Amino acid sequence: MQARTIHLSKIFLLLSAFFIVAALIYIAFGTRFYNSRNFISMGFQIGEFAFLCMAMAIAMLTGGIDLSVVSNMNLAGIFAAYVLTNEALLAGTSTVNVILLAVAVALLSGLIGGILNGLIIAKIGVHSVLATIGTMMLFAGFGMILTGGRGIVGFPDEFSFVGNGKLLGLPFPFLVVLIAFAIVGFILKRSNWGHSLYLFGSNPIASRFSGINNARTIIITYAIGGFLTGISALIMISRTNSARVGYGESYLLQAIVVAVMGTMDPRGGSGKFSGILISVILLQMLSSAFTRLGITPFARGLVYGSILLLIIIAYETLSGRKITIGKRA
Amino acid sequence: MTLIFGTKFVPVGDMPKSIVWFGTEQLLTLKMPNGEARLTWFVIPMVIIVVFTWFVLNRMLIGRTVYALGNSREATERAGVSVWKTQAFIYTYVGMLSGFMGIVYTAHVRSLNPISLVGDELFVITAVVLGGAKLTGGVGTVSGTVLGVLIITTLQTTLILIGLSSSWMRFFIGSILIISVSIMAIRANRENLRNLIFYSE
Repeated sequence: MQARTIHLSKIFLLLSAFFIVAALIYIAFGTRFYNSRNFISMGFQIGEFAFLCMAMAIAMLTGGIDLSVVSNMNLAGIFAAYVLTNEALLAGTSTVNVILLAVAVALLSGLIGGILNGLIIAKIGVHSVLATIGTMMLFAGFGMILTGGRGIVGFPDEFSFVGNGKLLGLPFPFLVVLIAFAIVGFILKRSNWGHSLYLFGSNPIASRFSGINNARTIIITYAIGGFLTGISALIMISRTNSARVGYGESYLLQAIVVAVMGTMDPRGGSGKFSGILISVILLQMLSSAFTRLGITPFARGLVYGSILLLIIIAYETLSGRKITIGKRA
Repeated sequence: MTLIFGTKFVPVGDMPKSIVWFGTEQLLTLKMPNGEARLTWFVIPMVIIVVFTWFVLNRMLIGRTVYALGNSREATERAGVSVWKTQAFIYTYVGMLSGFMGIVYTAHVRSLNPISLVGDELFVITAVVLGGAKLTGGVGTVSGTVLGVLIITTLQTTLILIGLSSSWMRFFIGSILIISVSIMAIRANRENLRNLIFYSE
């Protein structure tokens, strides 16, 4: 037998973890888990969370972190909900127009939140952790002032398509996630911004002296993150049919877990974007499996924490090594 | 090295809250024009811990090593210090402080669930940063942290006394955090430009 050398890259380790988990779930549940109905319901659940993970991941590529994703999402959702429940608008024009306006408002609100993050980090020079903690409280507080902590309910029925509709037999949110992954992955690989992002992440001084406008790169990064957050806000308020401050707060830490698990280096500059998709699906499969087993949320936190620790230890100790299988040469 | 100082004073940070609120027993009761002001006995462990932490950080070898590690890991290693041991000490100490905090919090609230304080980390980080500690490490004092905590707690209580609902609190604390770290960052940037340092974390 010929000896084979396998390069243990992070993505290889992640894929192995994915297949191990998939196999364990198959052993535990068999076709009770692996059937089209379950996969379709998982496709619905993945929607808003995947966008938050993408936003977190591109922030991590700069060596920063975006802690404000969830409150930015909630704020965008609240704005969209105000548009959707506005009586005067609904009476004045057709429902489709109102929905389009709500979509635009949510995306714009997310985008502005992202640009604000980027400006504070790039132009003023605040550490990203502090800046985004600050904006996180700011967005949450702003949403709280607007709503007084109450939920906004009663959207037009047509709007539920965004979060609950099906297109070509597939869940609509899942399709949006796939398209967004393709677009963001493509511009990360092919655009000017993507290349300067990776360079900035691995060495900000080098990128500065190669004539790259660092501030612009950071602002664009956080703006794209904010835009993705806006999309996730739309899916979320459509799925829950309401908007309120404090929805999805557990997503914040999970998004960090996914970004780190999805091969992003928290120190910045390296990471394959496809890893994010794999680890989002991995986490969703785990969470569905936990629901079936009836595990409490507290125990889930324990499991997520252990997984994160295990994967980080594996990345730090194993990645970059080579192993030889079969006869040694 | 990020976050060494960020997480360092977490438990001390949360304690003064207990002083401001009622405890079950009080050390001292002051008659005020509008009611009584009480000082609970939680202040005793708090003061002891603050003084002890100050002593460890400023008068003991291990404390100075913590600062050195925060400033430059490389230099600390070259100076012959075991980075591993120092880090183990730091996080053990932090764990111990959290344990104290757990006791005080339980005594104060007299009911607990695993998520009762989740989310308060951010207030803690805010307090520590307002107190002058740097997220990148190497800078920060115990007295500054105590002051930062006092600012946050005073803000939390007075905003309610002024009559603003608690929904404004996050907004205000967020704004104050952003403004104060921005001022610090702008000052640091000017300094860096003078010294021809072009990018600093």
